[in-house]
Amino acid sequence: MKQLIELNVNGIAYDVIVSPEDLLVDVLRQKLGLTGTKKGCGQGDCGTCTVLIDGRRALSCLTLAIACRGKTILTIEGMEADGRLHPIQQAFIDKGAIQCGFCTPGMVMAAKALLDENPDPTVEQIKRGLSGNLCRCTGYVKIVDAVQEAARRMRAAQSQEVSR
Amino acid sequence: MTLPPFEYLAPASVEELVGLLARHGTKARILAGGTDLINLMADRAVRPEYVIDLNGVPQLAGISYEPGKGLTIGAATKIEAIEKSPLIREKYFALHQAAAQIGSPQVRAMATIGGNSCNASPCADMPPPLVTLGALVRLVGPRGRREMLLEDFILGNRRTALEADELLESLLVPEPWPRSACRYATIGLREAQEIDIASVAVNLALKPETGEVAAVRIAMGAVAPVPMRARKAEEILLGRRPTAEVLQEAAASCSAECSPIDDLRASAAYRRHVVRVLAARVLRETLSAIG
Amino acid sequence: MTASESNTFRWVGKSVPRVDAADKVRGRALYTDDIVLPGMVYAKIKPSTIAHGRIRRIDLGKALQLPGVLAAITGEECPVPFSVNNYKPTEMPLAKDKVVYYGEGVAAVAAVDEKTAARAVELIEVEYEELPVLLDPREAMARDDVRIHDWAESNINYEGKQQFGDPEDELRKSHVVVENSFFSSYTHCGFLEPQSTIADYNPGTGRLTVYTCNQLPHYLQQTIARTIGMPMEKIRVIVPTVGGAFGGKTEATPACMVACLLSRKLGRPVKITYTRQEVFFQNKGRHPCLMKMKMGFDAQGRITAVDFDCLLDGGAHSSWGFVVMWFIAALTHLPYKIPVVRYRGKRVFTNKPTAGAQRCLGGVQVRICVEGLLDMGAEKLGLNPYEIRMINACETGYKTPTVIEVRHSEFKKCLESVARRSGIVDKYGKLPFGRGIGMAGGHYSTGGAFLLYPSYRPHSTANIRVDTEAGVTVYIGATGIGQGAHTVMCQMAAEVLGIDYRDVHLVCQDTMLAPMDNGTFDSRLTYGAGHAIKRAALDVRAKLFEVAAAVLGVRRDHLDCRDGEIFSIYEPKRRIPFQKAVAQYLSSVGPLFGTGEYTPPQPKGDYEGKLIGPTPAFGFTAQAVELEVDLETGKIKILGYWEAGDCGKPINPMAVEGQVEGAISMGLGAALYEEMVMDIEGRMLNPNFHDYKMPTTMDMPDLSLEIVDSYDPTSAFGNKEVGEGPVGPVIPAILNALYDAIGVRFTEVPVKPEKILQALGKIESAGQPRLYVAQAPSECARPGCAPGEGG
Repeated sequence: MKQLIELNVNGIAYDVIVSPEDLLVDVLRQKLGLTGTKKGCGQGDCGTCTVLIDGRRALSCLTLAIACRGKTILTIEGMEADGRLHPIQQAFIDKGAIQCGFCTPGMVMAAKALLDENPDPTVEQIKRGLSGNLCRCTGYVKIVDAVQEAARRMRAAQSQEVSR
Repeated sequence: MTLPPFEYLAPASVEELVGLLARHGTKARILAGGTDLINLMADRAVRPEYVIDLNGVPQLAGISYEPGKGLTIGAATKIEAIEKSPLIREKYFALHQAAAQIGSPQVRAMATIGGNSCNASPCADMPPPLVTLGALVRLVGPRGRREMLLEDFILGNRRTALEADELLESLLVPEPWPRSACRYATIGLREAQEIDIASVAVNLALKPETGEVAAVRIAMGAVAPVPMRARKAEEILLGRRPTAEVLQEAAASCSAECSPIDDLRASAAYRRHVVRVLAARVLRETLSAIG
Repeated sequence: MTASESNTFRWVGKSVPRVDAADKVRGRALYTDDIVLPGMVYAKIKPSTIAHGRIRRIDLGKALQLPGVLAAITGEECPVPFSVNNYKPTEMPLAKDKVVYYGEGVAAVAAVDEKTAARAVELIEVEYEELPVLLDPREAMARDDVRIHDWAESNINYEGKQQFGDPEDELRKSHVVVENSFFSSYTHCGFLEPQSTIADYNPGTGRLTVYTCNQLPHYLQQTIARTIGMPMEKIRVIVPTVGGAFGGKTEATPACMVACLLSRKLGRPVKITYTRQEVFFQNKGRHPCLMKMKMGFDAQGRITAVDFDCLLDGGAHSSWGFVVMWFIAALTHLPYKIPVVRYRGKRVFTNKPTAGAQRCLGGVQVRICVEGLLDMGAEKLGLNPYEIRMINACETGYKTPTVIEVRHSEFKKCLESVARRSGIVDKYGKLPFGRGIGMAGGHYSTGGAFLLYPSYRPHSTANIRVDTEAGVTVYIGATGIGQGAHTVMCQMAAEVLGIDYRDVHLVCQDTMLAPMDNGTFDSRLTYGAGHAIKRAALDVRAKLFEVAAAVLGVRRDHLDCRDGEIFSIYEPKRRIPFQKAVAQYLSSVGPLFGTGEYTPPQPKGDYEGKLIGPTPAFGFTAQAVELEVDLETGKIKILGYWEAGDCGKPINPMAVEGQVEGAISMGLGAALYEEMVMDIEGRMLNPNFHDYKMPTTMDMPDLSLEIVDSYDPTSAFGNKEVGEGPVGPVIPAILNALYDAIGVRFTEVPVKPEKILQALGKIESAGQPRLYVAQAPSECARPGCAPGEGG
């Protein structure tokens, strides 16, 4: 039975008609036109569909859209602010961490969740934090470098804020 | 990948949930984390008419501990919460190890201990250490509540004693034995996102004066349809000082007792061999932890 | 342009950020499935449930009655087979009369949305008459009674032989002869973006626009034209951003053809996107090969001859089989000097998802044999792995028996670098039992020297248009698949024109707007496109300089350009901004265009298969790995990994590193755990990413890379390939290290822990080394037993 629900995505409240069986990844991509979140496998194995729901990691291909009423969803499109890239995004560009780019949105979201929890992760912790995101192009080397760099820049910005 | 159609129900309390289960019974499935159910539905392995989402029932999640009584973990508690709980790390380390092993960070954020237990895959990570800790499941349904050992709850490959109108409400893990430790180890081909080829959980207590084994439970995962107790191995250890030879004997018994199969992930022969290796390693690690 | 001149490059050789990175990291880059067109509908395909059988009946009735279903077709409506090179094509858009692999599409439905299409597919009824399933190429060859393709004389798809000299004689005379049998596994490309197509047929104009992630838009255009029966010039192929390809997207997918047919039938856009399972069924990954190789050495350790038999398991369709078979032959001749070679190849059909062209095609297979035999020979000769390779390594100027000239090589530098950094000479044979070190070399072709149909047309053409409205726009058919092609093309154009690389606009991978390019395969893009772009840019520059010279009052040949300005080298004060020179040109002369093209030299020699393999340049690589085996569990831990590569002058070193890192991760997966597994009925047991295991972040060891100092004078900017070659040495380096560690020489991959324990005698062997698992699926392998075992 189709229902009209409100989904809060990247700070915007959308009215969407969904059937109970509609998956969040499909609703984001097809109904809201937010195609940044990718569907690599549809089974929760590749991480390209990773979004944050109420700040927590979620595989949108295994999440029912209807179960997301009243929750705050953050997708890759919500990472930039006023046309400025998030430090994680900028670090990915600067460190050459993007090749075909298909894993990139999911990686960035996973990295955000990691750095939100742990602003000063070790390399091992970064690898573990991204272990749910497959990449076939990069061998992960520059992705890990990018997250390290992002963490460094974010901590530096934070201490600048504090000292102000 | 699309799902077959169903009605979605989101109760706000345990009573409401139980009421829905009573009404819809075999036609309903509980949605917790979704990491198993959604896949099963996508493959058309299950086609429930009703999906009952328990995430709106806050009482079902949470970790609490009462000295003497032990740990109560709501069935809807996320694996991630179990992994990160300082209390569980301190007192029930094997549960921390098992939780840390499951899937990926995303999966751990979504999946629940109840789902992992009710799905009852032979490769599931939470059941083996829970079984060694003597965990109980508390079930609730229209006929009221009942409790049983998790070990008795899991009946076979993806089969549990849960009735169609029942809900797994929480797990109770008794107070650890004095002078004990519990540890868990797994093996797979990759270091992340793995489905275990084999796993071993040990819960062991030593007698303070003699250093003999006062109590022990060993459970093996992915080498039998259920998390399997290695009872003969336990007998080998009980009442003896855990020397290297005794540990080897116990480990060898684990290997002999389990009933692994050949499948696309590994052969039975490999599983049988590696269970012995894991058992020896986990036993040694557990003993070190007791100190 | 010389090597020393290249050190003054402004953009070439710089690790600049990619031009497409911002869009990708913002989630704005459009991959095919992201695109939505007005009036678009969705189609789904019904897969076969058996691996071999005749289609007795297909009933579309119930499907057509489902509300929202617009059309349904079967193989009867698309009877023309296709393949990328139109040589013995066998693949059908939808199976006609029979199915030859599990998951082959037999019918398709178009509906208003994806859900309806999926439900409709479930309602299609198909009846099969099952036929015996042939999974082993040896059996398939021998069986006369079971023909996988009715029109073929046998199940042997192709056969070929190349012989240079008399190997039997040479081997007889050799001081040392070693031989072994090897098996390379059934791997999958593993790109994360499932193939997707939007076919948009406009009944008013009779034009078909196809959006799809394909590496070779030119060939796709031809293939569509032939298969659905439409003139080529009415078809436009546009390739959006591609989410990884690795050779697996070089061919048209059956789904692409189905989308075109349905769109033409309905007169509206039709989208089909594969599920991950369908991606696996469609496959087009690496050819598993059963190989036997003999190698002889003289007393000084020089290779005297190689005798090589290769049985390629092609799976169900022709695909790239012809090319792979000959590529394996060609790649045998380098990077070591081998004066006498005999190659006998056979590619055989089996009832499995088709093998095609996976990154470093043919190279991975050859390297397993050659690098293994080199170590075996070295052992008999009392040499270490480094010595045997240095003795035999090719150098600039070397000519192979196949009349291929290595016009430039720094292979020895690569070998020397990894040997030094890994310490293999000191460690080999001296590490404690269970720990070992091994090395392997490799190479790959650059610049591609063949078109897939007989023609002498240029392989790459670049047209550059310069004006004040659009700046500098390079039109080139070249297709980016994530390797960084767009960025290096901008860097190269900017280098010649003296502008910022970010100010170069590209129009590419569009068969209507961009001139024909031979495509992204065989590591030809940077080399081929590089020449074309350089020539076109020089053309533009010459025209512009003529006008600038007049404006500045200097000689045309005194001018140079850099950082957006054109200036006299001798009187630097005489300078004019690039844009101003352009504006002046437009008003004084007219439109400003340049064009350039590239065709590689025609391969020489006169032998079967000569067109496949020879290329104008070669990239080289050497790798070493130190590892430790857990003797109780059989698991391998990589302690160190070293690589050195000769890619000529790297256009973008950061991009080169990224390519090498990715290549090594692909090789690692293949060495340790990647394989597609079938049951005895030919059903794939692991068409998913939890049981087809690719490395995760936690599986990658630390890598130590080096780009050796090199400059290839035959290329536009000194550059050579790097995208594929580095996959090759990974498997043999690990196998060689395992021999050092535990004294067992593995000759097949993946080397899973239980193989190691079997070799150590710790568990019972399963008998004959198996090609692939042919067992009943376990209950644990049923859907749902995914990493997320929580509920």
